Amino acid sequence: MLHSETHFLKANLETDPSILPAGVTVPTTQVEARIPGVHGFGPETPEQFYPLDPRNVRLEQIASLVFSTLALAGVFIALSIVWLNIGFGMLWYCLAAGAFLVVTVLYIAAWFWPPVSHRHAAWRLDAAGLEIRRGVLWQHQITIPLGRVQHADVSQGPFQRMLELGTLTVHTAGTQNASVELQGLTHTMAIQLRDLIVEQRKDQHVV
Amino acid sequence: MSSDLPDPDSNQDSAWTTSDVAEHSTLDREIDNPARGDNRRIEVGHSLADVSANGLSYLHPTSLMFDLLAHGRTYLVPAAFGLWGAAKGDATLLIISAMIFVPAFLVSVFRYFTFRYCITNGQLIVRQGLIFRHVRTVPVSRIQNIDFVQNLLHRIFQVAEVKVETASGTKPEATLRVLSMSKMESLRDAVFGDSASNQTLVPDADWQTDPIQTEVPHSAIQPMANPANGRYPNASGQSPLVTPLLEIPLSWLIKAGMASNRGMIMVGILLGAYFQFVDQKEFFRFEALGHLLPVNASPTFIAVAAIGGVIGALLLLRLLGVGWFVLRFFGYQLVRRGDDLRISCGLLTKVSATVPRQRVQFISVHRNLFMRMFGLASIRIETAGGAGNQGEHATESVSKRWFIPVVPEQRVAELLTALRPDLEWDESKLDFKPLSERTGRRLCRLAFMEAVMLSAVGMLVSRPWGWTVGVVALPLLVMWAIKKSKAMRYARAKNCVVYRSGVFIRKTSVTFFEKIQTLRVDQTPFDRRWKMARLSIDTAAAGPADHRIQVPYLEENFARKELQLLRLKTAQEQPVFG
Repeated sequence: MLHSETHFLKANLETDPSILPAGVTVPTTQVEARIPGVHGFGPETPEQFYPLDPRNVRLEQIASLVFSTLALAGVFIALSIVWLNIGFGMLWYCLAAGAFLVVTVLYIAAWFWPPVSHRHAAWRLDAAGLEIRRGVLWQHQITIPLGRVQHADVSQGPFQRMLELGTLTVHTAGTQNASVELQGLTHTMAIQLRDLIVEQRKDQHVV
Repeated sequence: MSSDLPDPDSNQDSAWTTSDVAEHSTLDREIDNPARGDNRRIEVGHSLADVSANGLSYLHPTSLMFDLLAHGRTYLVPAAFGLWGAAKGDATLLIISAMIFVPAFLVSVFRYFTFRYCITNGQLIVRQGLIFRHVRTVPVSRIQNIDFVQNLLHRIFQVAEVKVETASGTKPEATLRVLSMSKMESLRDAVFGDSASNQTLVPDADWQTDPIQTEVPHSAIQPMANPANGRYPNASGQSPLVTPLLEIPLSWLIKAGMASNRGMIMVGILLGAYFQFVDQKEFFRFEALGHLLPVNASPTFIAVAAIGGVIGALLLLRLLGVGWFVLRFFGYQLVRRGDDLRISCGLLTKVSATVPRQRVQFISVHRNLFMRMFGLASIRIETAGGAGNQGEHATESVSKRWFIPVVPEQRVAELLTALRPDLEWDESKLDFKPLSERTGRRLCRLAFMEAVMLSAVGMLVSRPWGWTVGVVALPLLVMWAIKKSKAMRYARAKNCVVYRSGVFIRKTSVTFFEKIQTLRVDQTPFDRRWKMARLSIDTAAAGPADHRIQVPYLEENFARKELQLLRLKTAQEQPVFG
């Protein structure tokens, strides 16, 4: 039973990439339309990867703006503490100028960085597993073979709920990458992906 | 088939309430693989219950003492205070320490009387607590290892501390402190008799006629000594043979001790203890050494004495290392019993560990500089669960960190094949892919920059000639860079991935496609400038072997292609680790 399925998968991988192995079924037409990766193995081209939801850019911007504002508040508090202790002076002005420069850079980055990182993030799911690319300066490409997934869950933060986005977390038995997050999918997509991954896992008789 | 057998639940001790029993039956059914028939499983469970004691058992009576000792370390200081107070005739301190001690003792008593265990229905059941009752059910087929440790005190009482491990988490699933040797042995047989072949079930008749049920060995340190003990039924009804794989003679241990830097660590510990307990005023006075010399010693005599002293100290360090190795691994034996590998060793504290062969995730061969000189190697393994951490149990460090502490080079291949029969290990024939050809240049440039920085620091420290530091360091740094890049090699064989690295301690690690959990390729901005990438392969329990498959400085194209290839290969294999 276990063996025959392994062979089936192997046969598909080696001979006919267009046929889905028994394990990979597409539950809804919506996913079918949006995850061509599951149809099989095409050429290893970047086009095959799927971008995150564009709303994720907005989410990142909001989150970064919130962070920058917190940083600004922190700067105000720190500067007033310095002022109370040593009063105005050359040191204070220098500190203030430096701090506001940093905060300004943070604000600018909060607005312009998310679109850039969005362009560098992509994912795909095929019969071999889930693959994620992300990172602008430090670039990462992570792949999780479907058979290795222990469990997968979907989470949603408050802003994500607002924008109907979700985060898919895939857990493996590994150590360094025991859990891999894919943030910035639509919530329904994340749930469908999770179901797909977990179902596949079940079919493969994972320990 | 099982109609003549009594219901296994009737075997339960009366202490079990019916609700407890019901709980276990449901658990059993939940965990049970649907592919297995429930009926047959219960038969096995029944036999297993026979093998272990009937129903639920208490731990060995001396557990009370060992439990108190194990938890008592934290009370050592109050105890010392109490004694000190009593000696000075001061009762308050005594009362205070009694207030700490008596509850601790009561807790130990409570723990002893509320802790019970048994093996039934193919599950190890451990029940703890009275008010908050904690029942842990571990399916026997999921048990990874059963290890036991025996220090001198344990040996006097013929008991051992037993640790049951599954694939989950870093902590052992259950620690049985302590069991008598006979109980320990029957527990181990019950577990590995079943799980050595957990795909098929054990024929009933064999279990009932097998001598193991009546003859329980008492010398568990060398369980293989008695040929009758080495036979127990497996799935096919045949007794798996016990194959001795390796015995380490004292001479190897001495060599390994000489080659290791263990002595240094022991000196560190001794120094730590010294500074901890000795008053700062009595700090070791190095000037005092001068008084050992004769009054009018010639300079040559002093020089000779100094050199002799240094050589003597180094020798002493090596001897300490030898001592550590001998203490730890004296009488090391590695045997294969069916699909399990068993290690036993130790001079004072004896350790025995069982590692199921199919659960080995990662194998690492280490050779340090001296070991290479002696033609020796050591082999470490990783199994799922129980990643090595600080304060790890002695069995853990033996079965993982020190799987084979020392072995001559020419036997490495043979032992690795014993660990993994389909591994064709021949390091010289492996198709080692070199790193990117620009690695040397990149590392040399890095070395140059480091030298420049050293020069700058040197200039800051001392003005006219500070920069010479960098000039002196440059050839060393470059040499190091070249050595380092030459040592790193990556290879992919039929069913495994091999990575070798390290200049002084050469580490060669291998993992198998079905053990790979995740794969990744990372690029730093510098990597991108050089069109290089790092390939990382994650396995379960990466840690104890102290080596990770993270191959830096690969050609970017190669790394990405390799990732896709490994990804497909990994997807074809079933994960096996528990």
